[in-house]
Amino acid sequence: MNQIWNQIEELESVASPGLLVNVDCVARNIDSMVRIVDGDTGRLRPHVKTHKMPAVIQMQLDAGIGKFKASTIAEASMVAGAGGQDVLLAYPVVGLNIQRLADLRDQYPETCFSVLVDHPSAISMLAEAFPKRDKPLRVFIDVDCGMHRTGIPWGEGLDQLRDRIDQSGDLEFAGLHVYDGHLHQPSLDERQQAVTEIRQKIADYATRSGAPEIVAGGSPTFAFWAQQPGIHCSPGTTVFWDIGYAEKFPDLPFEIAAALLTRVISKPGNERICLDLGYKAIASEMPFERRLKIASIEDAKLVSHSEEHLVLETASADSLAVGQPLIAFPRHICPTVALHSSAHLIRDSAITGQQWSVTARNRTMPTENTPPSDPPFRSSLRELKWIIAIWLFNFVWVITYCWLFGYSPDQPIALTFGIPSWAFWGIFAPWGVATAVSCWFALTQMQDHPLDVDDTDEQTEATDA
Amino acid sequence: MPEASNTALMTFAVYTLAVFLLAVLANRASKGKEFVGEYFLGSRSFGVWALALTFAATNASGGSFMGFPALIYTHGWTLALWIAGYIIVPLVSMGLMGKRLNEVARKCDAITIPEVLKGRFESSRVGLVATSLLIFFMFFYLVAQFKAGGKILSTLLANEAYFQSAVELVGSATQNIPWVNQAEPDYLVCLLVFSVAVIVYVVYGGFRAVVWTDVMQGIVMFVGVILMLGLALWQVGGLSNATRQLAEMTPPENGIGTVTLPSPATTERAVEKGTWIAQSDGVYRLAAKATIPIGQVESESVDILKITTEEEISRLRREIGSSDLRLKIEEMTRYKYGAGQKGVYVTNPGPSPTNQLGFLAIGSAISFFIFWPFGAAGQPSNMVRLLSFKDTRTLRYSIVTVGIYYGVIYLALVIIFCCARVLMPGMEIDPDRTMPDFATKLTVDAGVPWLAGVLVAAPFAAVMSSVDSFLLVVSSAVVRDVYQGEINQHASEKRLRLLSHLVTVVVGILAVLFVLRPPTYLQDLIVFATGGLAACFLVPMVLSLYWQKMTGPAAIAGMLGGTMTHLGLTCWGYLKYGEFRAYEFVGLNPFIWDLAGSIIACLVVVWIGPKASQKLVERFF
Repeated sequence: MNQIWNQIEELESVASPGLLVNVDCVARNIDSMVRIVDGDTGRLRPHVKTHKMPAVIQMQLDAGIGKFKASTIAEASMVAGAGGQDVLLAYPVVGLNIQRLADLRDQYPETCFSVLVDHPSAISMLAEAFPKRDKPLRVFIDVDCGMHRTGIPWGEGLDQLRDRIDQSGDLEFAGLHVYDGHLHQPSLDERQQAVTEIRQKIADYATRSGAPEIVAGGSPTFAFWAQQPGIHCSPGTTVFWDIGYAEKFPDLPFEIAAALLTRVISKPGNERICLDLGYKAIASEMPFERRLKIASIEDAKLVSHSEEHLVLETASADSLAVGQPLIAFPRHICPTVALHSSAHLIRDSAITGQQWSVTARNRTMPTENTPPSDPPFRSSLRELKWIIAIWLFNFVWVITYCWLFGYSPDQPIALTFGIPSWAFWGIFAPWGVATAVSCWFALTQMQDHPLDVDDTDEQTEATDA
Repeated sequence: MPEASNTALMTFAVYTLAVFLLAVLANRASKGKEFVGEYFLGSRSFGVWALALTFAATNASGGSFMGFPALIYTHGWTLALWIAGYIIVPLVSMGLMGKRLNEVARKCDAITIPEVLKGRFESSRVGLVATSLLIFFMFFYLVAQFKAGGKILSTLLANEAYFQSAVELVGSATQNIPWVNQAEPDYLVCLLVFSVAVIVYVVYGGFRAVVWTDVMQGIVMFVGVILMLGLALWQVGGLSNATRQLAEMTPPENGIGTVTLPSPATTERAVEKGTWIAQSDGVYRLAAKATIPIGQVESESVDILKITTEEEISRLRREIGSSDLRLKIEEMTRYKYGAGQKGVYVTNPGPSPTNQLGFLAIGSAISFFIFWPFGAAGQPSNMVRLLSFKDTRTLRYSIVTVGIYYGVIYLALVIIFCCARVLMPGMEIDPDRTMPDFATKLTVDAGVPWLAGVLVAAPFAAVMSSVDSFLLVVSSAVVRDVYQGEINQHASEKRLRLLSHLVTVVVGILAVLFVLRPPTYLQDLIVFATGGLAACFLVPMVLSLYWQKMTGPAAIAGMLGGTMTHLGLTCWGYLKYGEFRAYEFVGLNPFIWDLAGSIIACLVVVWIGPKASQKLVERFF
């Protein structure tokens, strides 16, 4: 890991503090995810909370992954906007968020949205907000399998909840969501044993009551759940990985794909250095002394941490120059990513100059309540399909009609407005319709885009796609 | 008809002056802009009307106003089905790639089609293959259009006294110049006038002048067609009347005969092409000039045409009057499809003198419905226009404009020349004259001969607007893709300016020299070049724009795959038919097989070749 991160070229082109993403590692991590489920990408429903980036969604879509899990309305909106076909909002939806979810469904009618419920009142609220729709809202029951954060325990309450959903008429039972976030056992056997116990309860329920889809596990237990037939896996951190997981779960084949660029900004003496890596650049979620690691400074000890400053103590302080770039690894990558608006990309061990936007770090997406605006490529592709369909429609009309009615010279000629009837109904009429459809399509369905963008924005735009 | 001809000359003079004026204005507008981008692409600044009309005018080449009317006249209403693919041409040819192509071209800073492909794959090799194939096919097209320009002008000016004097002068001046003296003097004069006019305004005004003149030409064509439609319907007594008369018509017969006199000629007797002869066994028209020498009663054998429609025969007998000329028939040939059969002009497949299945069998109709829209989408001269619009709104409104424009133009042309079939019999002897002759007849009969000038300017405008575009496409391929791209990337503005002008002039002169003695199968070469260009560029370009896995080697394979299939079918056709035309495997247009060849080549190389660069994918997708 460190070898990859120690040899990055052109770091001087990136301002610090900055988020770095190694695209090659991301690609390999996605490959590993697919490999763990034996290539059956239909069983993958990766969580997007780690990256919050449409560009990563695009890479996962390219790898054949179509289903995703999200924690916020903004993440769900980002997935749908990036082309994800199925989004599970794995978070209880209450208050105004219910209406935001309804709006999102209207905005992206081709995307299948589902949510979690763990209480009868949540079912009532959702049923009230999604009445009489063509497609009932799909709901997963959130099962508390030991984490005791959200969810309903196995037992009678679960069955009652299921009955409420079935009786509501407006909601559709989609299955069970069983998140085992409490399983952090470094021992493989202990982790596997815990998973097996939960698996047994799932099997009992499914045999008794049936469940269309079971979404189970997080990153630490991903490999075990992947071995359970019929279970859909939802790892999240696996796409970027971090030193927290890498140290705890060395059995998992993922590489660290995201880190932070920081620089020495001061040397206050006493073997101390000060970095521009305050807790506005790296999440302060973890205990102070375990918050991060600095590549190439093994003995670094955290002394103090404030908004924009991080003071370290190290025996190698003398050898570090003011302005020197360093690579820092947050213990938990997910909350740190959300502190940055974009990530600088690394490919072939060099900074590419391109960036990916962390669009879903915002609580509200700018596209909410506005018609979706695809990048030119996506909208052009959509329009291409429409155009081929319009051509095909006219082709079938003209050729079929003229073939049936226009190839009989022995018949007496029938006229419509002075034109042979076969030509009127087989050519003039479709010509009029085609012209009208072309006008309608060009004026109302084709999207406008700014075409003259400067190179930096353009590259960010392109990679966001 | 000297009156009409005079007007034609005046129209041509005014028209040429207007073109030069636009070139001067374009030159002024281009001051202070980066030269190469301005000269070849007008600095990507064109709005709705400019884009729409340059697109429409470039597409509607000489063929639309010379060949198409001739085909309608000869085969009747079936041409409505033949051209029906144009229903969707604006949407497919502009909408299929327009926005995406413009976007990618801007990202690569490309101003030519080979440059787009080169930039998309960051590969000079892709650019060079594209440039070579583009120049190869484009040159045939350019040559053919130059010929069409010369021919149309000579048709318009044929009876003009000043023109005849110029012809004699040029004829005597060039009779000893090798190669040049092989061209007919009248054609030579017109070719030179036409070529000089086009080359001068293209060199002076660049792409901006080309687009502005296209706009003017597009308007001239539109107005001309609308006027003709009104006059034709008025004179024929309504469309129902015309179609009913057309339904009673039967195809003429072609033959060979000699013109005879009752007594030996006292002076050499020249009988002009187009002369009508009515005799007891029918009414005939000479398809070539016949000469009866002094003291003889009979001319050499000449091609003749026999009218077979009863109503026309009676009408012509009344109009022709008495004459001492008689025809001795040597041989008559009936149409292979439709001979003696009423109704063939108002249904499919339409009469045909050469094909037993008729003019448009259903397989051909299917092929053309595919060929028109997708063939147009694959033409580099169309694609390059899609690089020039300033914003996506312009593209959307242009699709609407071109859609309405084509709907009016093509449907109107079908109606107009079905009326011509009724009003003006015997044009099978020289179908290419149908448009100018009918325009002259309509205006003279209506008492407004001056209007003929506007009407006959339409085909001239069409050819001019195509030639100028092809000239620039070929020049830009040489200057931008070969010189600036491969030889001298840091060439100065002054040098590029000089070179661009020089190449445009040299390409123009080469085309003129080549066309002084056009190859026998020139029309077939046009078909060859159009099909070849679309076969070569359509699939690789679409896949490059929309498919992330597309690679440079696959684009080269696609271009070569389409080209080789096209060449292969053409060779097969030559061996099978003894003519320069592609073999129609299972009755389908060769274009469809070319596309299949191109797609297969692309897919195979994507499958077995190197993977697409992730860096390029992220840059363009």
